[in-house]
This record gives sequence, structure tokens and C-alpha cells, in this order.
Amino acid sequence: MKNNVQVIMNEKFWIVEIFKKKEAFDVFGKEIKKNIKELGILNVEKVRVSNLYKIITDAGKKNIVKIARDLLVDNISEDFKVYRKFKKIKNFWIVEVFFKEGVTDSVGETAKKTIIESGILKKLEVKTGKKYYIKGNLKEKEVKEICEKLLANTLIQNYFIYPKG
Amino acid sequence: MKYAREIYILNADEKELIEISEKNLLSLNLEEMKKIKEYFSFLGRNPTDCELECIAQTWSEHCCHKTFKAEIEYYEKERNVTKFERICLLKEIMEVTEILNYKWCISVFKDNAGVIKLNEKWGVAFKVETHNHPSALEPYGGAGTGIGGVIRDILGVGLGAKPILNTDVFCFGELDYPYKKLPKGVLHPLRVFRGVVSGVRDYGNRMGIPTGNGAIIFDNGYVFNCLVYCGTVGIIPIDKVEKKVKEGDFIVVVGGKTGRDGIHGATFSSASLKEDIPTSVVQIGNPIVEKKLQDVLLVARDKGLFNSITDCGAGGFSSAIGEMGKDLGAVVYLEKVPLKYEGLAPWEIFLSESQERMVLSVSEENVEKLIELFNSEDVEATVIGRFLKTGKLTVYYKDEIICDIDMEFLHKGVPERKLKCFFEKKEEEKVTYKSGNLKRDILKVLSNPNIASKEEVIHQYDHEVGGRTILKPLVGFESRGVSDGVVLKPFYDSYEGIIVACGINPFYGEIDPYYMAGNCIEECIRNIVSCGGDPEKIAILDNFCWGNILDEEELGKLVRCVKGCKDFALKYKVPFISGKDSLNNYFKGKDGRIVSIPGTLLISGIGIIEDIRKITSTDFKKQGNLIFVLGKTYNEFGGSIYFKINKIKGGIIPKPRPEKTLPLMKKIHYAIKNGIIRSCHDCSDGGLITTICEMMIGGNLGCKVDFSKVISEEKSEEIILFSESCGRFVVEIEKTNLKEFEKIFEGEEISCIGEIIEEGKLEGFFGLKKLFEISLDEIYKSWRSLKF
Amino acid sequence: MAKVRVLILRVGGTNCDFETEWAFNLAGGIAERVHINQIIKKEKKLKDYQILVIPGGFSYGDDIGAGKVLANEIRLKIWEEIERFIEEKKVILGICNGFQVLVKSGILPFNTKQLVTLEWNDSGRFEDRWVYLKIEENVSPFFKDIPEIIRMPVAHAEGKFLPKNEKVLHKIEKNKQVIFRYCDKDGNLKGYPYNPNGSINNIAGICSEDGLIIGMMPHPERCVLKYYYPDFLKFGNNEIFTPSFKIFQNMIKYFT
Repeated sequence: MKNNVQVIMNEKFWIVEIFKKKEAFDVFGKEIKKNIKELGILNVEKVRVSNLYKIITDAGKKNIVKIARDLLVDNISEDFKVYRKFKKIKNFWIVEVFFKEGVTDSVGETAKKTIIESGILKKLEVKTGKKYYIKGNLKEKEVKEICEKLLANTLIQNYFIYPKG
Repeated sequence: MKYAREIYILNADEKELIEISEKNLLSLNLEEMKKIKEYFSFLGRNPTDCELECIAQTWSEHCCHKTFKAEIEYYEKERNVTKFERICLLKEIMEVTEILNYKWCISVFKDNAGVIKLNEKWGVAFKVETHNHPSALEPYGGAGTGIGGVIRDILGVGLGAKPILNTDVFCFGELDYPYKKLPKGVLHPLRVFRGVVSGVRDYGNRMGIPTGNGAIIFDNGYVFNCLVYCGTVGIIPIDKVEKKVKEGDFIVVVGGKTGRDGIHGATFSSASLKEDIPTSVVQIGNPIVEKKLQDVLLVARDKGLFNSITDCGAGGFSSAIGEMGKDLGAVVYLEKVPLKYEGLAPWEIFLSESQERMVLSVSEENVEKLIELFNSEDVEATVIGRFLKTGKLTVYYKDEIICDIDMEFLHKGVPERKLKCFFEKKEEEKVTYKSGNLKRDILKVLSNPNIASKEEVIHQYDHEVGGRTILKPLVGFESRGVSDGVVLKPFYDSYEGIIVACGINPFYGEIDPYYMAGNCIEECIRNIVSCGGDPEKIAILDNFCWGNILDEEELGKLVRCVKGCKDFALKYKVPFISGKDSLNNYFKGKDGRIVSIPGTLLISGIGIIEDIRKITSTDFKKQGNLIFVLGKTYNEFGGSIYFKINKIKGGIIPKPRPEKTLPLMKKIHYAIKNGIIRSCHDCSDGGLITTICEMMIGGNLGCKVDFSKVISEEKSEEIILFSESCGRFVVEIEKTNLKEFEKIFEGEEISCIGEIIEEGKLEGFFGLKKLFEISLDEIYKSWRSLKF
Repeated sequence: MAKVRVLILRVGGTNCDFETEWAFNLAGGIAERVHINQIIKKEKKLKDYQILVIPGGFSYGDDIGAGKVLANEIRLKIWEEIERFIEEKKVILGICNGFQVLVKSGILPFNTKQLVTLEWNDSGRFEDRWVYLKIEENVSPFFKDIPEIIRMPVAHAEGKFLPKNEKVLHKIEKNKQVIFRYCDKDGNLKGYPYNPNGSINNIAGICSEDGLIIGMMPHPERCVLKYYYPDFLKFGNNEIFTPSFKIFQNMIKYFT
């Protein structure tokens, strides 16, 4: 697992994070909050879910913003951020989940295809993932439990926990 | 060697041979390793990694069904008498079909799926597979690739059938299983359940194939090893059922690219689940790749562009090409295979179980046309070798031969297994139990997860895509009722129909697998007949999922079950057309403790009808209509839900009585066809009361029933309400049809037990004594209590 | 009289093309399933057809978002032909995934940039269920002689009708571009499960300002005969063809 992280760190990439404009549209956040409570972890107040596209490329931010806006985001219900690194957030645990190397990532492949066909970039790789914002008075052990039992299957996915800021 | 690794077996002793097998995850036993050593000693060289892997896959339980082909010494003990026989399980099953010898069974036990005749021009293919181990580890991906795999089986039957229906049957641990009791690495049943349902949903729906029939069983015997049965039905022109590889044909791989995913799937599926698992065995599918493949493949079939086809499933190219080239020989150039990414060892390319790939055998003159056609719809098609009359499986990587073995050895070299096992028949004893609160018992039975409505799951499956689904899995008022089977209209311009249903009940197997088999077969037929099917035009499939068959007792139960399959299939006159076994579904903990699943048999059935307008459904139709019970009730509580909820052990397992039930079913078919029966539902788990409640829910109507009228071995309220005797149906008829109805069923054990009323309640009497009154709301609420 | 030609557009993941073809043929048209690559390569020309159908399915897996990739592709690769088709007042029908494509490409409701979307169902799940639909007074010519309340199945994960803002919603409503809304059997607008996805104002289908471009989540092609109704065994209705079938007939009739 450690090797994997290293490889990713050395690559040039951008993250496009796509999230619902309104909490009301975030049906998966609601579902996961319910599922966390089923695990017996009751101190969870709110969960929000974003889709992540890790775009591995040398291209500049401007192109990535264009890709996100024109191809990936639904401008009516969604908004997006483009970044390489993100800041921790007060009150929220953040969990990122990505597929391990070699695991089929159909959405990533489709995204790659549609970006190439648009002509914006010629060469790139896309890996998709999820980002979870979990608000609540939780211990790291509990967040880990949530990851293992709910958010990731460590056979095929890696998860990364970022403590509250 | 540059591209392959030599495996040193020529000088290996027995201990080392076993080490080699274990280290490389080959799942080969000592005898098999010795046979391989002998073969390579004869060749005078060591095998390569590719050769050894290739043999291991071909000889795996998953691919060659060693246990089902083995000669088994079987000892059966009843009271103090022990009987002995030698038995081959596969022969037992196939013999049924041979003895019945129906002309409409077109292709049985030889291709990817069984095919029966639908009409003069078309056949219908049906196959059911299991995908248990992968689903236990990665429920979403495992279940998705399970359904993807069985769809490819149908695409690969004959020269390709068009899939028109999926079926799904799952067995999970109970959803409230305590987290604390789970060993490390075992996923909780709730997570497995959600993942499996989503996986089947996302793959099946994206393929555009309706999911129309299934069942879900909950029992803590499945906590460590869930069962995921996926089935697909397809239609195929009769003149496309035969296929043959021609000498000189090109080997063309079509569909997805090859990656490292799913390596060792075949050998792994025959091994037990342990606490440490390599990542590479898990596969994730991409349904759209398969959908595109399907679309263009059927066009290529109709244009006659290929001579043979098979799917790339377990064992990857090794097994697909090995199988297709069995009679001729094949030469493969692995460097031509399109890869997902760099870095695969050649043997990995050959063995990879990447999804959505199929192998075609194409005449030289059609190769270009075929590739052009596939590419025109964005599907990859690549020539990777040729079928040549060499008698060998020869694999090159660049200029190096990395595999060169005789087809004869590959396919016939596996040492025949000799197994021994025993079965001790338990004495069955009548047990009666009264809880004294019938109403509470009824609601408890209805809310038992095995009985309760699976509506929330069913709604997630598209059961109507394709425009062929006539009788849907949910029927009646607001689609609340449950259907016994699904009725399809396979052709837009005709009213001909297909009915598909299943039978499964592992709880009976705990008492006697022989009668479990009989019950499953009868339940499957009953379900088809109660939709309007013709009991004389039904074919069935067997799927055995069993535990540790190296244990003589477990194997004994399997043999006993197979014997039941044979005897009862013959008595009900239904042929087996295809089957599959998944063995070694057990979990081995760190302490060496072995937990086997309950031996589980799924019988899936397919029936042909002339007219989809002449069917019926389970929902009550109209107030004032009469309710009849057909068939007799016995004191048979063994394995019943009623005993389960009251925690009672023992009892008599329901006994199929084909001599009575088969003639009865023929009459039911006749009565439905002629519009005499307005609704029909069979009695199975949960007993008569469950059947009646489900019919009420579907009809949004109530009923008044005198249970003393039910023909029963004993006039006991509990027996009549909850016994699970087979051979019984509840039907609704109009008063005006009473005479006609009675004429049809003259001489049968039938009785009118009550009448449908408008008010939403169930009033139960026993003669003049009122037993209970339950509102339809209460009934529905209990039945809908299972939340996911 | 020349027959009306119907092009049923398919791409990887389209899956309601065969039954849609059947429905149009049954209604008297000549329907043809055409792969988008055939149009891109100019082997088939849109101008040879009167009706363009984007049928149900999961175009490109609905990866990224339902209908999104096909909407991008239409904009990028065949936009000129589509624009001409619209200008010539020909008919476009998007069912389910096709509706998603029509709104995400902006063709519906006003042929501008995207102004409405079809969001994830409130349940967060794909759902197949039969719904009641109340036909609204609308500008489209294809919903005449149809009972006010009809039934069809829906089968989708992303079908929640969601306009960009009140203004867009108001304009669609005012222009009579709403075709039908989810309701109960008596025509009352109700919540789940009658409104299966949480659509704003229970909107299940809309049309363009001229009424010739139609988008709907429910599947009329799945119930052109009464035998497809989940309770056909209960009611002895003699009429074999359903109101859903009438929609296809009306479209064919429009050109004849």
C-alpha cells in the first residue's frame, strides 16, 4: 500500500472534485450517514460525498477547469473544485477512497475517452475515487472502522483518512 | 528462457510437489502433481510456469468437475442396514435426460448452456452459474461479474444466443448477525447483501436484460460463504445451435482487454476461503463493454462470420482456447493480445480472467470482415493465433515457446478421482407444537426474512427492459403481490411464451438431502404450473453448492441429494438440460476450524407455453369468488418456517408425492388455459396461511376461510396453517365456473375453504369456531418488515 | 403516401432500441436502429428521417452522469445535423436515457445551454415501478385522444426533474411544455412512491416550445399492448392497444 501512495505522489496530476450544490441533492451522503449509524456509531451528524477524478497529466489548471466545466459536471445540480492539494476542514473528517492499481475503473476509462474526444487533452490517465466529509464527534478508530466496514474494500481499494483541521 | 520460468518438478519429491502446488495457488493434489511430473519426465523437461498454470486451471474442480465425474463408493445406512453402491454423480443426472429422451431437448450437457425447442425456428437456452467466492470477498464486483459471466455463457452457446432474461438467487447470513462474532476479513452479511444486490442491479440493468425471477434465503450457515446464483435465458435460431472449429481457423479475441484481474479464479473457486486472500483474484466488470460485444456479436452470427465461439471465463484463454482446440490443436501468439496495461507476465496473459472477452474461431476469408464489423461499433477484435491440426496447445510469446503440451494430456490426463463417503439416514419423527397464539405465529411467519417481501430488492432490478416481460415478479394491486414465476413473450410478433421459476430450500437438506431435492424439483414445477405452465413442457437445471466434500459425511449428503434429483426428476418427468456444481464452500479459520455451508440445491426451471394470454397470477381478483385448496395437507413440519420461528427441531420433512401431484398439475394447467382458474399460488415455505396472505396482499382483498375444510391428515389448526406439505395449490374461481371446475378436478383431493371479501381482513374459522381476524394492513405490514 | 422513417439512435449501452423499433413499426412507421458511428461516418444521414429517437438504456454506462457522455458527443460530433433536424420541424423523442441526453445537451427545454437536469432519485437507487401519469394541457400535438390519466413503467436511477431555478420552471410551466406529471390513480399529485424520484412539481415529461421535441422518463414502448399491464389478468379490457401506443401513432400520423 505504501508503494502505491509513493507512485501517485510522484505523478503530475490534478484532482477534480465534483459535489452537489445543495445538501438536499446528496442522496448518498444521507444513505451513508444512515449506514454509519447502523454500525453502532451514533455520533455522526452529517456526511457529504464528492466524486473525484484524478487526472494524471502535465496540462495546466486552465485546461482542467475547462474539462470539468464542459465535460464532467452537471451545471444545474453540481459544482466543482480543481486542486492538487486540499486543506483540512474544521469539524470534518475527510476520507478519500481510490481503486488500487490494476483494478478496473470503468468510469475513469469513460472519462479519459470523452476528454480525448473533446480534443482538450491528448494524453492523460483518469482515476476515479470518492471523497467523504464526515462531521461528528468521532475518534480516529471509529473513522477507520467506518472505512473498513462501509466505505472501502481494502482488497481492491485504498483509503486515506485526513483528521479534522 | 526469457519469458517463462522453468518450474523444477522433475527432481521434486512428494513434499516438494505439494509445496509447488501450494506456493503457486494451483490447488492440485499430490496424485495430480505426480501425474504432471510423469508427463514431463516423459517429455524429458521441466514444465514452464505457463504450462503448469494451464494444466492446473484445466484440471480445476471449477473447469472439469472432478468430483461429479469421480467414481464414488457410497454407503447408505438406514436403521441398521447399510447399502453400498458405486456411483458417478454426473452420470446420475444425465441419465434422467437420456431416459426421458424428449425430442424437444436440442442440446444438453455439452455446450455452455442447455437448449430446448421453442418453436420450429427457435430454441431457448438456459444456464445458471454461481459466483460465490468472489462475491464473499468483493460483493459488488463479484456479483456483477457473476451475472456478466453467465450472460457470456448464453452468448457463447451454439453460435450465440440473445439473452432475454436474468435470474438471481442469493443465500446470505442473517442480517442482524453480531459484528463481534465475525472473523477478520469476513464481510458482514448486510454489507454482502447490499453489495451483491447493487452488483447484480448495475450489471444486469446496464446489459438491458430484465431480471425477472429469483429468491433470497437467510441463514447463518452462509455468514462466511454467501451463495450467488446468476442465471440467463437466451433465444437462438435452431440452425445456429451447432458449431465446429475448422482446421486453419483464426483465433480471434473480441471484447475487453486483458489485465491482471481474476488470475487464479478457477483454482481459487475450488479452494476454501481463508483469512488471507490475494487481491488479484477479484474482478470488476464493465457491463458496457459486454453490451457492445453482445450487440455486434449477434450481427456477426447472423452474417455467418465465425464457425465457433466460447466465452472467456474461468481459466481465461487457457481454458477457452484449450477447449475449442481440443480436437485439433492451437497455436497462440500471446504478444498480440491487447492489454490494459504493461507488465503482465506471459502466463498471466494466458490465464487472466479479465471480464467481457470471448474467443471466436474464424475462417480466413471472414477475418477482415469480422474485425471491421466489430471495430465499427467500437469493439476490439484481434487475431491471436490459429487452430491447427497439431494435437497440441502451443503458446508463443514473441519468438519463445512458453507452453507446448498435448491436448490429450491436458483434457484427459487428470487422474480419475476415487472417493468414498457415507450417509446415515436420520429417523424422522412426527413432532407437534402449539404455541397457543395463532395470530402472533402468522404475523411472525410473514415477517420472517425468508418469507417477507423482497419488494425493495426487486424494484431495483429492471424487470421489463426489452419489452418481453408479461407476468412480472411483482403483481397485483400497486405491484405488491409476489409472483410464482416470470412469463416472457420472447417475440414481438407472436403470443408464444416462456415461463421461468425456481425451487430452493436448504432447510430441508438438514434433515434429508434426498427429499430436499424432491421438494426443490416439485416447487420449481409447481411455480411454473401455477403461472399457467404445462407440466409436460418443463426442463430443469441443477446447481449444487456444497461444503467441504473431502469430508466423507458432507460428500455423502451430496450423493444423497443427487440421488434425489435423479429419482424425482424421473418421477415428475422433467429432464435436466444443464447444471453446475460449486464445491468447497467452506471457511477455514486461523485455528483450522472448518465451517461448511448448508448443502444447497437450486433447481431452475423453464417452461414453454403457446399463448401468454392464457396464464394467471397469484393475486386475488374479485370479491365473491371461491377459494379452493388443491392437494392434501400432512403433518410435515421438518425444516419449516413455523418450527424455525418457534425454535423447534425435528419433524417430518415434506414428501413429494408425484403420483398424485403430477396428474393434479396437468389439470391445473388445463383449467388455467381455459380461464377457469382466476388466480393460483402454490403452497411452499410458510405453509397454506402464507399462500393465502400473499394472494390477499396482491389482490388488496380480504377473505373468509374455514380451515376445517382443508383436507388434512390430521385436523389440527397448526398443521393446516403452517405445515409445508408439497403438492398443494390455492386457487380462486368464479361461482359461475364451479360446475366446470369440479368436473375438471373430479377425483382429486380438493376442497372449497372460503370466499374472497372486499373488506381488507382475513377471518379464520375452524368449523363454527372463530380462530382469528387479522386486518390486511397488519398482514402487509408484517410481510413488508424486512428493511434493507 | 410515403412511409414515415424513424431513426433509433444507438450507442454503447443503449438497450431499449428493439422494443422502440417495434412500437414505431407497429404504429405504421419504418423504424431503423442506427449506430451513432454510422452517422458520424456519414453512412446514414439524419435528413433522410422524419423522427429521431434516443431510446432508453445506459449510454456509455452512464459513467460520469446519466446521458452526459452522449450529450457531449452529440454536441461535438453531429450537432450540425441535429440543428438542421430541429429547424426543419422534425420530431425528436427521448425516452428515459434519451430524455437525460436531451436535457444535458440543452436541446430541451429551449435549445440553449443546459437549464434543467435529471438528478439522482431521492431514494438513491435505480427503481423499476409502474406509475400513474396525468396528462397536462400542453403544446405538443402527440398527446391528443389519450385519457387524462395513463399508466407506464419507469425504470431509472437518475430521473428527478430539476430546473436550474424558479424562472426556468415557471417558463416551462407557463409555455405549457409539461406533458405529464406523476400522480396517484385519481390524478392527485402525490409523493413517493407515486412520484418515484422526487421530481419538482411531479414533472415526468416535457416538450420543446413548439411541442415537437419530447422527453420523458416513463417508457411507453414497454406497454404498447394491454398484456404488459401488471394487472391485465384482473381487468377484462377488450382494447388491445394502450394509450401509450397512441403516442407512437400520433407521431407517425403527424407526418401523414
